[in-house]
Amino acid sequence: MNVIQTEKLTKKFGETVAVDEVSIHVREGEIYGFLGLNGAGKTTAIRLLLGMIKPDAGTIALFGQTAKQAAPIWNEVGYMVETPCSYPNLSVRENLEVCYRLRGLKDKKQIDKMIAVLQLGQYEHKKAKFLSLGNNQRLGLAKALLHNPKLLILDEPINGLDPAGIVEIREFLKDLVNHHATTIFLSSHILSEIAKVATRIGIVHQGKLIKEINTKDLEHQIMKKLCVNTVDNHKALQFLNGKDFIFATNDSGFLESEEPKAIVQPEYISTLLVNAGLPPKMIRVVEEDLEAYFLRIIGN
Amino acid sequence: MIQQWQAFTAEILKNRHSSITRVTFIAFSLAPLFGGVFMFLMGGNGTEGLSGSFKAKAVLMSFEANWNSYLGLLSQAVGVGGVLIFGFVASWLFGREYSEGTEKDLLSLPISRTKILNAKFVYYLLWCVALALSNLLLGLLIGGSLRLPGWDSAMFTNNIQVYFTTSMMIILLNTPIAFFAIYGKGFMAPLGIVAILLVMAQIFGALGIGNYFPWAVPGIYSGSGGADLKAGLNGWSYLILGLTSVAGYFGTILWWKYSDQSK
Repeated sequence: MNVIQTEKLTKKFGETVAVDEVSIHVREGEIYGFLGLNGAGKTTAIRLLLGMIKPDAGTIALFGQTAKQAAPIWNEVGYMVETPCSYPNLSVRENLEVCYRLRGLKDKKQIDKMIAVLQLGQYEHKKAKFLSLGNNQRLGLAKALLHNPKLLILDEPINGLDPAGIVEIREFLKDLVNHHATTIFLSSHILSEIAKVATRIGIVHQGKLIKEINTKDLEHQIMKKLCVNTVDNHKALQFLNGKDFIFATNDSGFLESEEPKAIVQPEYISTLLVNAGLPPKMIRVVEEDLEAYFLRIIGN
Repeated sequence: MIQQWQAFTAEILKNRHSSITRVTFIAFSLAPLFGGVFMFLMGGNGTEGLSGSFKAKAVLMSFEANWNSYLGLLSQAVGVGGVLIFGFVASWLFGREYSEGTEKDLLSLPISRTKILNAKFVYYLLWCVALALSNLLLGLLIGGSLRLPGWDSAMFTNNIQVYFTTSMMIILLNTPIAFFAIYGKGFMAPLGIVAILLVMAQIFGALGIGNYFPWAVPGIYSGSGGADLKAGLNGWSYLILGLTSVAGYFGTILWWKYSDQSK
């Protein structure tokens, strides 16, 4: 079953098309990464999913049904939109208690559990206005998880966290999916980060969903090149292209080839060059990094 | 009903440590305190203890150092100051969610948005009633300690009726302020509206048509514009005030339920 299903979802603000015919199908137990630059339409899409704004066209279904205001289904959804905010004069525990009451929950131990899980124990009586950015983020996550939702919608959940906190939240989200059958939809503008947690990634640019990819296939999408520098690159270029390879000179004056047969056998290229009296000073396979891949996909 | 109660208890919790509550009680208590000083200065000598504009005002309003004048003064203070203080309470309660960024936590819940707003309206009502009561009790304490003359039950009942009717009219008049807080996404816009409405109430009152401007009606009813102006209040005055309140309430609910929450 698709936990989230949108069909040609569209939202305009005046002349600006913030979300443009986006169709997303998120399956049960997935971590779906929604990737895009700032202003790409991620938060608008999330607000649409959460019923905070109305679409101009298209449909949204959560757990196979249209989620109306105040429907019981909202107790299956936990969310955190943009920077999490809390009542500044209330403590961590009191903020969670406000959520507890509004959701009509029955077991107060759930508050204790969330405080423990998100490691907020030492701050539970501290007013939210005195929390660090990272702990405020933890409190936002605690509010989103308080009712054990089956679907978690998170907007940039690692913003403001330190490296240890990022690893911790990443492992926590994986654990939710693996051991608690939670489905997670999370947005980010950092591909390398989202690739570490998501099972599938949707890339959104200027409101359009331009690519969807399984994270395990990402490896095959990354562009690789064989980069060579010899004692005489001009001669080496003529020599290698005469041997049925396709090399070109890059901006740094090195020789480059994107041909798979060159990339998989750098030792053979090296032998050829040495035997031709053009020994390589450097030869290596260069992999495109994830950020470069992302920018290439969105056409930057 | 259970959900309504949950929303109301959440609203109580949200305001548990609010310094704004203390500020409104302190600000509102200035009226009986200064009224008491006014009475003390007049104390037993008619208006001889006063000078300048205070004296002019006292003569104009036929004030005397007695219970009737003092309780009348409290009603007039509520009639004008209440617009400001109760308006501040409404601005804060309804605008704080946007100012603090917590409004998004209230939108996608299994509880209706109307119940969340109704909880706020009930809390607003109780807060304002508590302000009015505390002011009255403080006034009675100050009046008693000054040993003001002229106490009798008929006078007290009449003044109390004016005091609470004035208070209730102002309480009702702040539903549009709640709307502006939701519409303006914060408490600054409605505070600006309150200031504008106060000025407009004065202008309409001075022009002699305050009896048809809802925010001038409580002040006129309290007697702050004199008996002649109060005599000008009629059924239309109260009807306009009531309709303004109803429009404010439904406008707030409908806007919160159906407008895009894209802040």
